[in-house]
Order: sequence, then C-alpha cells, then structure tokens
Amino acid sequence: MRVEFIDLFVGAAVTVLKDVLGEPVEAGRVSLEMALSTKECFSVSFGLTGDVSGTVLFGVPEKTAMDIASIMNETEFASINEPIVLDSLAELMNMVAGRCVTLLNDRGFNFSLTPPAIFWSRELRICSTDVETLIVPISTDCGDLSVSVAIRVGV
Amino acid sequence: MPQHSMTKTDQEHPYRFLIVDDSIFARKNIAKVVEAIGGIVAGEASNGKEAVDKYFALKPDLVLMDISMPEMEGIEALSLIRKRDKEAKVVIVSALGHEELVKKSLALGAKHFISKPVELNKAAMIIKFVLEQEGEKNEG
Repeated sequence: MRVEFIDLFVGAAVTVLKDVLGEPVEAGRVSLEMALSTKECFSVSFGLTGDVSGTVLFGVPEKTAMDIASIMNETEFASINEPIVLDSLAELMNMVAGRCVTLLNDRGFNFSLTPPAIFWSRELRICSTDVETLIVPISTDCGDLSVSVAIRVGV
Repeated sequence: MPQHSMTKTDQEHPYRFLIVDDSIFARKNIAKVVEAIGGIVAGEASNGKEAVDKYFALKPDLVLMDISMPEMEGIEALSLIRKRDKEAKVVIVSALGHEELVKKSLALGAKHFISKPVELNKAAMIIKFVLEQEGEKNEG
C-alpha cells in the first residue's frame, strides 16, 4: 500500500475532525495488521471502487461516539440508541472519507465512494479483504478513535 | 431578522428549499443555513429518487443536493430534474469535491457547489449569490 494514501487519509481525518470538533486532534503512530478489524463499539465502513479499491473502517468507542454526536448537534443525548447519534457519526466519517476521495481524485486516481455502512457490535472483523491494513489512532478531546485503511491500487 | 435574511423581491414570501441528503444530521445542519437566510424548508428527501418526486410535487425555489446516497445518487437526480425542468435550481452539497465531479455537476446544470463540512456563513453566501443571480436573470 502506498504511504501517500495513508498520509492523505490521516491528514483528511485530522483536518475534518478539527473543523467539526475543534482542537486538539492528533494522529498517533501507524501500525500494520493483516486483517481489517476493530474492537470498538461503533464502526463505520466505506467501500472504494475504481483505480483504488478497498475498505476504510473507522472505529469509535461508545463514550466517544456520544460526545462527538453531542458536539455536532450542540445538545446532550440521553441514549446511544437515538438514531441521530449514529447518523451524526456516519456523516462525520463520510466527510473524512469524502475529503480523502477528493484529494486522491485530484491527484489523478479515478474512483468513488460507497455510502457508509454502520456497525454496532463488540468486535468487527472483515474477512473479505486480502490486503494488509494500516491502522492509525487519532486522539481528540472526545476520546480516541481509529482509522483502518485496506486498499490496493490498480486492481 | 437573521444576518443573511432574504426574501423574493417581487413577493413577500420566503424562498422555499428542498433538502436532499441521506443523513439526518446533514439535513438538520443544512436546514440551519436555510433558516439563517430567512428561507423555509419545503421538503426533505433522503435519496435521489425521492428528491426527483418531491421536486416536482413541491416545486421549490432551490434544491440543496448531496451526491453520495443510496438508491439514486445526487448526480443522477440532478440530471433527471434538469431534463424535465430547465429552470430548476440545484446546488450540490457534498463531502466529495474533486474537480472532475464539480465540472460534471456544473455541466449537468448545478448552479454551485458547497463542500462539507458546511460552514454556515459561507453556505449562506453561496445560496444568496445563486438566488440573486437567478433573480437578475429572470428580471433581465
């Protein structure tokens, strides 16, 4: 996987999270996994199709999800079950993924993004991917979240 | 009166908007922009197919349309609306903003492009610009 893609995904995530949640937002050290998975409570995944194909998976702990949704909607939520909480999270991740797709397309890669799929479970492992996954932790005032990127170029 | 408030100059009726986005949060957020310019939300749709149906049922002054949606994407909905109504005013509001997509949207008849995350003041200025420009064309 080309490092420039990871840098773009991380850079886009940090920029959008700063725009929406405010400072500070910081990316941590990148790690490598052979499977696309997350142990966080909420996951939002996007498929990429075209010159670049694969999956991007965001993992967000429950408390972080609640805090992010509260900031985005300028209101406190009583329950994680309120549809707007998950929806806000998915929209935030959509903005991050959209920013990445925009940057990569403007660099000459022609591909598109599927609408987000939201998962709510103790652990998520996507078995269909056979490419290595790079995972980047991102810390915010609402808590930590992770971005996992498993993509290939020219498939 | 909100800072960006505007109404149709020939009638004292506020502009009517159709907001199209599959995200509830995004629709609420865009509705804040509409309220800030003194407009009203005539209707909402969560995919392109619903947007086409609601456009012709409600005939809003302006459509604020997302691109990436299930069932039918915003680009296809834009194309279908503009094929049947050459006067339709559609502004794209999307997290996707690459040059090729913007060009394609404009070629299909979109009046402008607003990038997500939506900044209230910037979005209000763009919408006002589009409505004023179209108003001048109609007067001319």
